[in-house]
Amino acid sequence: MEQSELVDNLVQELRRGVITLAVLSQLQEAQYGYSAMKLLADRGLEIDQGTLYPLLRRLESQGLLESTWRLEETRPRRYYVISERGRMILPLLREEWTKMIETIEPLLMGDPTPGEPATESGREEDESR
Amino acid sequence: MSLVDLYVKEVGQHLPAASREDIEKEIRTLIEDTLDDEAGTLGRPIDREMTVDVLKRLGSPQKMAARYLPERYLIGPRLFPQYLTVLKIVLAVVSIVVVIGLAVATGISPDRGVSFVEMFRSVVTGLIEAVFQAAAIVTIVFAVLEYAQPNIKLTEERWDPLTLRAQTDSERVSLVGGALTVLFTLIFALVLNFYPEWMSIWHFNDNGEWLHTPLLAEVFFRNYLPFLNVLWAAEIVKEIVLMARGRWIPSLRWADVAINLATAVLAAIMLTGPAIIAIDAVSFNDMGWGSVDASTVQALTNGLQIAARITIGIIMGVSLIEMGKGLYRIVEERRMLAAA
Repeated sequence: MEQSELVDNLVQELRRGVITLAVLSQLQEAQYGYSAMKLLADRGLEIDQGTLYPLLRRLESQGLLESTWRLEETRPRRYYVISERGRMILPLLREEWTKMIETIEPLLMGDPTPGEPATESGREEDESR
Repeated sequence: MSLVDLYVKEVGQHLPAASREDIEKEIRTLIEDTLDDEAGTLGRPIDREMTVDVLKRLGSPQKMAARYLPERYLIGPRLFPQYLTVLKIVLAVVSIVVVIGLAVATGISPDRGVSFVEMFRSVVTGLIEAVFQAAAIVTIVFAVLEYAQPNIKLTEERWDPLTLRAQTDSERVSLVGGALTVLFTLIFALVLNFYPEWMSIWHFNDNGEWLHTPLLAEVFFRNYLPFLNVLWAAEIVKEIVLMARGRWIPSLRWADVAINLATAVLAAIMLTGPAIIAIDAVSFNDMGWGSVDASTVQALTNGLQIAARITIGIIMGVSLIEMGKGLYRIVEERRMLAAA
């Protein structure tokens, strides 16, 4: 595998979970596919359409989003909004995300928390899950 | 039909019918929204070039449709290592058996004009055919297992490291062993039901034509094969359920005991019934192996009949022993459960 291709794959793997978190956080108000993409892009997160639209449907099938068809400007559009279940789950995901950053950042900086080796705390994280 | 229509329709072709219409409708509005926005940004009406550009960014219809579908496997990563192991074993066994069998069958009368090239050709074509059939059967068996995987997941969710010690060797199930049992049972059943001529002695007649003299008597196919089929089907179902569960459970133990009992009973009936080997003095002489005297023929055919009965006797014995083992394990596992 070419190095650039490998890097692309690794970056995609990294982004996969993060995109879900980002989408859930931005659908407090109903958005249709294109407007959701624009909204995320305006906030600095570019997601290609081929990734975002199927993701919206998948999140809906998991009960994290709800959708309704609305007729606007003679064009029907499917609007997605976070569901009750999604609202309950989002804070838990946010908490996990914060913990992950707190654990990973020192690892990457080569600067473990004083008195506590980074690998140890990482292992504890894993086991508690 | 516009380019967008063609694209949407093509995506739909790769989607399941149940969600096709809905996804098509959604993708269409998404493309139209993108085009509207693009036209606004560029300050010109939507044209072909713009549409091509937007569709290119979406990706090929196949790729787009694939993103809407969950990942599906004929044989998933979980079963794949075992699949490869079984496939290698089966292909090796089938290759050896077929090569030896065909070489012997073809070369049995070398003086009747079978050239080496002819023999080589028939061995190679026979081998290719057998290898493909075996590979297909292995794949089908594992695909069925993959389909039965929800059950495997269920047992895994309840898995507890503490059960490692409690689980005895007798309870453990070998996926490779199970798959091999299913395969060889299937192959054997298929041969007897659909290719009975394979269970024959092949030879040439005086005109150099291929002939085969059936090894098994008509009575075997008429009286016993239907019952054997039921037993083999039961055995295959039991093995598949066993592999899907991942361990022996009482109901499977009882099914195993029942199959062994039925096998032993059928073997006993076959032992007391008419001869199942069709080779007798007449058919032996028809093979044209020439100068064998009558008493030798008689001794040979008698030997074959006795060998067949001994084989059936062994099958009966093994089934009874296996049944006994099964019953013992039912009692033993119940005792262990009570103790725990």
